[in-house]
Amino acid sequence: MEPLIPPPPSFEADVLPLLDEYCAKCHEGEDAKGKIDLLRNLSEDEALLQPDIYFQAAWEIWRGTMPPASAKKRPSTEEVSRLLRWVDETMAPQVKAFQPQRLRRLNNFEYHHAMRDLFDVEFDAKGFFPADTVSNGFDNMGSALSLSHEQFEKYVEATETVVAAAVVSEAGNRKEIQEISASEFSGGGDRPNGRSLFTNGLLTAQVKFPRRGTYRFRVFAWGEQAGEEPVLGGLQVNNQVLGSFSIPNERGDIGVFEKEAHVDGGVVEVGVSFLNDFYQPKHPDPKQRDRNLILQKLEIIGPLDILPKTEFQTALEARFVAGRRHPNLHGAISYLTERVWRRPPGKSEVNRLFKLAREGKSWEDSLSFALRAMLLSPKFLFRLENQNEYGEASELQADFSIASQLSFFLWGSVPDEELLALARNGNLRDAEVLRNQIGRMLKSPKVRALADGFASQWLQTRNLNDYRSAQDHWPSSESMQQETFFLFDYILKEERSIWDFIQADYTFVNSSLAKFYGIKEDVGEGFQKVSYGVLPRRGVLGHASVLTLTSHATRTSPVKRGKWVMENLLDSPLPPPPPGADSLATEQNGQEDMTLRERLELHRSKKQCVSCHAAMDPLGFGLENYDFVGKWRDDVDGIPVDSSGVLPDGRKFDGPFQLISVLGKDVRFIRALLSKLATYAFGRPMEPRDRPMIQLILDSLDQEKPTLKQMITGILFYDAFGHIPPTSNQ
Amino acid sequence: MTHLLSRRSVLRGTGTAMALPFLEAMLPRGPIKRPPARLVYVYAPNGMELDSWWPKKEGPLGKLPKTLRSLQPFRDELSIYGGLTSDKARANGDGPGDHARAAASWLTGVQPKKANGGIGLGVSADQIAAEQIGAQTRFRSLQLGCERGGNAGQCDSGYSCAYSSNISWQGESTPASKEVNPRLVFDRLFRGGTHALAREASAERVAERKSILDYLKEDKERLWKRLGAADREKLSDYFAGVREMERRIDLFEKSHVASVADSDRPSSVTPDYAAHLKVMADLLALAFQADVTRVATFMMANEGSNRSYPNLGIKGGHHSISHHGDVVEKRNQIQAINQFHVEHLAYLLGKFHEIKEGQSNLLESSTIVFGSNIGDGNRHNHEDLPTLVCGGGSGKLDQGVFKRFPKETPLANLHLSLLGKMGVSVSTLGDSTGVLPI
Repeated sequence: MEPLIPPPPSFEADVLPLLDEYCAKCHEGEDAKGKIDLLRNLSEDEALLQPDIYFQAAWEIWRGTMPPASAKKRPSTEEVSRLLRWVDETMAPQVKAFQPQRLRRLNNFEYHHAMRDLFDVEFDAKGFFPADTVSNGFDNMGSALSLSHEQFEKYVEATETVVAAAVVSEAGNRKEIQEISASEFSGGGDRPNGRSLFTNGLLTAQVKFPRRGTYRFRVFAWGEQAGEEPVLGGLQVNNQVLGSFSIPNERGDIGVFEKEAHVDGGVVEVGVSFLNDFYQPKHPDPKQRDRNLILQKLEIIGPLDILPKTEFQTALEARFVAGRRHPNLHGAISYLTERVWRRPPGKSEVNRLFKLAREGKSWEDSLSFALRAMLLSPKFLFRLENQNEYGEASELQADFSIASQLSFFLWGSVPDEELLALARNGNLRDAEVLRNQIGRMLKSPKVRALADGFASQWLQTRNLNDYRSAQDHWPSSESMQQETFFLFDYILKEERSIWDFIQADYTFVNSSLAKFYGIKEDVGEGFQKVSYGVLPRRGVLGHASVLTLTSHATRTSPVKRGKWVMENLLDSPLPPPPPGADSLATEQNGQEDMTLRERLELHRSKKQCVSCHAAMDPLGFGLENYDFVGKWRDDVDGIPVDSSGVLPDGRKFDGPFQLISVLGKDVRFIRALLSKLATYAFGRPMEPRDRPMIQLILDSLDQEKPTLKQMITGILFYDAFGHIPPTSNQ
Repeated sequence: MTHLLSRRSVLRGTGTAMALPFLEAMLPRGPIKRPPARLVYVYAPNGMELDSWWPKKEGPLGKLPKTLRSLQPFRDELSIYGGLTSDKARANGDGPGDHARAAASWLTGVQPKKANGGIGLGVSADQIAAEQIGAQTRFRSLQLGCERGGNAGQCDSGYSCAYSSNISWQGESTPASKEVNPRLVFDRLFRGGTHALAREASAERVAERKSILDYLKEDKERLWKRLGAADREKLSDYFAGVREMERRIDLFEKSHVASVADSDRPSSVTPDYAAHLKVMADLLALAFQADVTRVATFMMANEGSNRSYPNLGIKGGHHSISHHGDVVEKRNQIQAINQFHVEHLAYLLGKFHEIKEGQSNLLESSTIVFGSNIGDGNRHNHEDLPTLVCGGGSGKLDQGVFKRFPKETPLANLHLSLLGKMGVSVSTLGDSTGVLPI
């Protein structure tokens, strides 16, 4: 009787012959392509010492990127699965554990959300911190999130700003007196102990205000009187006149004039003006000839108003201050540390923070001290929640790790109280609980972080941030980005099939996009879901955002569009052009009269170019009916657009509609989306060794109607359990 | 400060926004010191149109070629060097990605790591200087630019986006952060940071910061023990940041911070690119004048930058046009862009020249290296790189010449030589093979 489970394949008998037949042409010997010599090891023992090249080979063959499209022979399904089984079942268990994960720093996006969720403080982290490095297409890669001196310095300042906003302290409400001496004003002329205006004019000084609030301004001035009226002075803040005052005072008798005004915080220009100049040089009495204003100083007292406590503060005080003789600072620190560090603090950790906090003079000061330290600690700034205070990973830590993985992935932020409570009780490793939490989190408004953080980078609509359309009547780049955002959000929340990204016959438009696309429907304020109807657009490939970001400034680029589709929708990253490859612009003269298609065809005729361009160009030409901002066109300069093409595997299409229906059946799309999503979730690029994981998650999807939720669940379950329980996606 | 003149009162008298003369009266009493040596690296991307770059013959400089025309007034404080090569910007088996490699290797002489979006390089020349001479100033160095890093997608052929947008590297995987927002630069240098705007840096706040830093250091021990090597490397950058912050606080307490008028505080946004370049140059001059730092880098644009230059009537992107295929019109456009960048270098030199330091001026005490780490943008080559050394180098430079070094002379040799002249002790830099006779 045949054994039910076939015996594990052997390297020598089952794998080596395959490599010899399908790979040896390029990958053997000294000059093997990419320096990958797959026939260097002839025995299993040797092969086990170089596992990575086999992981790599299995990965490429599995994805279909190898053997290349131009190869005459391709391995059969049985042969591929034999190779994969050897890698997964024989080789993988014998090589050392795979730990590619690098310690991740919270990126600016996550920092912003964390401040919002922890303290209800909106902090513009993106504008304030240096930009996060993008690697592998995303700005949350552990290996790329470095931390320079400057960045640390910014963290010090950021924590001070955030904590000052979160905890209103007595110090923040303290009235202070600022004295601005005459010499700090500009304009007018110097006087001993003063500054004078001889003609109608203005003295100005830049003054710092501790915060937004009401301040009292006290002008100390006197006049050289002449004529019938006394000197008339004015006070203005940021060019706004607060009022005027008559200054009858003379030398040796300084008058004080007061006004109150509301001022935004920061540096503000304050001005003192002279409004009624008088000058009669021929007046018989020399003392009656000239009227001047002399400013001695300006005092600013404030803020006069008292800021109310923040909600964060009130809630915390209700728990740890109200009804007690002394505030329970220790308890508050212990509670906050768990929230900020996303794991329970150890006793000594709380004690050390407590010791520091006691340097504060009041409850608010102490709280601020502790919060600043927590927020500056690597335990907040880095994803270290998998370790306890001794740097150990334990079962309990695993639960907190899951809580953070869920919240950073789905919300781009720290876990909320509910997740932490479940982690504390060890419940998050219960599949049912985990599934419910994923469901809850996907319904939260915070899940927009996935569209903002993931989708805008996957589809690269973020690259439109710097884009300014050349025509006023075109939709703004923000509108374009929003359309794609709403489509992602809808597919996610309504649990639509992910094929909608390619094939959706609906989209989300505001009035400017509707007009641009020629959608007749009456679109009111904001964005609205509309059907494309008979309009020749489907999915993201009909979005102005995608069509614009894959174009040059003033013309389309079939190559850019094709490359974008290959890389982002088909999981087929292309090797970069070989050294010495000419760009189109550098082709020979005599091509001026050729169309773009003809020139690209000439380019493709070169051997070194054909393998990539045969794949890219047809995809791009299929979209040629959309111009460089995505507007439909039937012809270019009077020549009808030819948007037909043949893909390398022989599939034909004519026009964008047919191209989209061809792509709508391409299984590579599911893999592309999953592998991008997993890259984003884990903060590291997918490697050949991740293939079994990706395969497992792919297998767990509903083959009829795969959804983002199923993918997300698969990723999070795999991360939590190392496998996917069969019921998880039902 | 009774005997010393505050810069501010001097400023008011002249009424100019930026001029903050370095007056001897401002120096602390005692023997007048020589102005300190300063070092700046200014980068322009995508190579140059070289026909309008190189002078006709070697030797003393005469009338400068078209692209360099704006530097004519500084002819005696300028050298043009040819023959320099960045071998590590070449593929060397890593395939395409010349732009990423060019920016990365310009000041490091090291081939950047490519595999799978990883980051691995070396410490750059400016940061070596910053480590040694930077300790005397509040900021070890200053990194300026006009373009932030990439937003999404690939930056250059699979290389991490960190490479194309940084020339200054603090550690092997840590670029020294570049600032593009003029207001944030100003606040950081002259206002003790943004938060300090709202509350003057007081002794109290300094003490608070110290306590918190002490706490962080104390807390380090346990954490450190259990970490893997890779994680330690990450956190070692973090703790280097803690130490640097401490150093700065100590220095802050001991030294007088030059007062710079609020009227100099620039806006966060600039109306156009030319204004952005100018305000960054102004800030650089101001920083050196106030002596808050002595080392700086300035990326006029990121490597591979595809910005258009509507002010020059150029609609296409810089990078796209740089592959000009010898089409005359495009060559001319590239030349115009190069000239535009050089004009802003001239603006910077002019600023430096205006700033008097005792008998001398800031330009005399500065060494300013300008260049691109791609030779001809059309060919993506990395030999015979367009390279200028400007400034008086505190009298240690032999200026006013065009000199060609033998082919394949490592650019790193120039860096090594200049660092040596600045008194920075370093024996090798990246692929350097020795010092140059300059």
